[in-house]
Amino acid sequence: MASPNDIKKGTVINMNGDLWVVTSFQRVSPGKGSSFVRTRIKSLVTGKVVENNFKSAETLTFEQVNNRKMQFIFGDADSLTFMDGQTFDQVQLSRDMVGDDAAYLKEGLDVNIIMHGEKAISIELPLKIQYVITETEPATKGNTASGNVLKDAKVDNGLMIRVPIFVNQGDNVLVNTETGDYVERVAK
Amino acid sequence: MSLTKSDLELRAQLWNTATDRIREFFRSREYIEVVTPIVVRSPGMEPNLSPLAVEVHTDGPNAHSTRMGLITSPEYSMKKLLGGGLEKIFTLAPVFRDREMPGQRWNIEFTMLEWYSQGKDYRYLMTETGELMNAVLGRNDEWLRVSYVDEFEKVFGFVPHDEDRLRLIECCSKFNVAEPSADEPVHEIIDRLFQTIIWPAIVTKGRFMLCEYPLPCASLSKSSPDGRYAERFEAFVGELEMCNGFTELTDAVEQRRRFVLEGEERRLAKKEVFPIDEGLLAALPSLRSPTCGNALGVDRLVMLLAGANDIDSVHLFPPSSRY
Repeated sequence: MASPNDIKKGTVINMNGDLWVVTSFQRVSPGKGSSFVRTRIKSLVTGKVVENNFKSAETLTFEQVNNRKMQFIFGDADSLTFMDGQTFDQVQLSRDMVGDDAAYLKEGLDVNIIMHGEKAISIELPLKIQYVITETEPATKGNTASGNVLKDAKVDNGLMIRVPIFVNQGDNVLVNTETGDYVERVAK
Repeated sequence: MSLTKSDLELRAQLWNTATDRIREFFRSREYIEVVTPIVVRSPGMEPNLSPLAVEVHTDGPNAHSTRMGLITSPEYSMKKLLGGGLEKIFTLAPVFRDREMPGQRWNIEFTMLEWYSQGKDYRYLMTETGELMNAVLGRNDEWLRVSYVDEFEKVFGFVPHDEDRLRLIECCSKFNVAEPSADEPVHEIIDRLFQTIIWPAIVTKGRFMLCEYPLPCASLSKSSPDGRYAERFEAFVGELEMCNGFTELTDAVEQRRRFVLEGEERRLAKKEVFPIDEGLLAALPSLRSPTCGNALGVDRLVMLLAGANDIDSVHLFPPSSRY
């Protein structure tokens, strides 16, 4: 038995015998009201995605899943391929199953593949991933008073992010994969 | 890994800009800034909050120890100052809430801006709150108002009250929302129906103020004269809740009744029950009616100023790696 507060991306919930994988979740605690976990869950049978709110006090049944550490090797229009660096086993996941997380993948990135039995059902990204800025306007000094804080930037896998205006092309930065936020510049 | 100098400077500047603008805003409106206690005997009764409890030891001839708590909000002290005759006050106070999940939008400790004005109600406060946030963020946004009870009535056909438990349970089954357990409080059933059925359409409105809550969800707010709703509102930027404002309840008898109920809910949930703040109840009758007050999360305001989605991104000491 588990609590909605234990929900993570990739958690598989058994609801009346149907299996659902959590693709995103957010805790909601309306001011001085009760708290919820708002989830987006995908049916492992039909692929249908629904939103579901779980009360924090509810009891849930989680399915046992296993994590397998693998590297992202390539993606095409529909699917993404990962490889186990030790055994060279490969698994494929559809872009639909991976959802928004696909945008953070880059060649050679280590991720956890979430396996339900023999089936790969989802991926778990590192919370922070380091990228190199490949395109952005030249750096200027920030001025928070004028609201001049962020600018657009493109990183080495093509992902577009917002970075502080002191960041330069060629800088290494960490990006939060849950929110898409720039986290910090990595000292060279 | 420690942050680089440019990241540290940016984060410090963001907080300076936000707090400077907050202080400028309230001083120009003749509010007085006050400092209130952090360690108190009655840190808060809200059933869903978990105050951090501390043991305080005084020294000297009267040495003794007292079970106290860190404030979850400076509200009780602020209202005592109103009872003492101060008309317009604000504070920037550190507040503490145990059992939160640090990161994303939460932290165990954060900075609360609270302000109160005697003689004004929640409608005035909604306007002032929008103006404050616009002033801090350097924007000129329209803040849409959405009435909770109106939206609820449109979908479910009635405005919920304490005695509507059975109708609410019927709504759960009709709208395919999980059935409430026997001990689920009415306010939670209402909120769950609202969150599940109505919220998804509202949250797309961007910047808005959700106002006029059902009476069971009144918290410390006053009931409207016709008893239709509680004079309460919360401002949201999408999913991000910014504040919780009321026309304050000034009826000490009703306030005591709600504290007793909340204490009972805490007991049932096996949470520590701190003593009722008698000083607050004694001060309430001296407040003018109406009096309005709002509590706004400054960390979240800084997140908006920074364009950040994670509270970690605006702190010199990111919360998610501290505990």
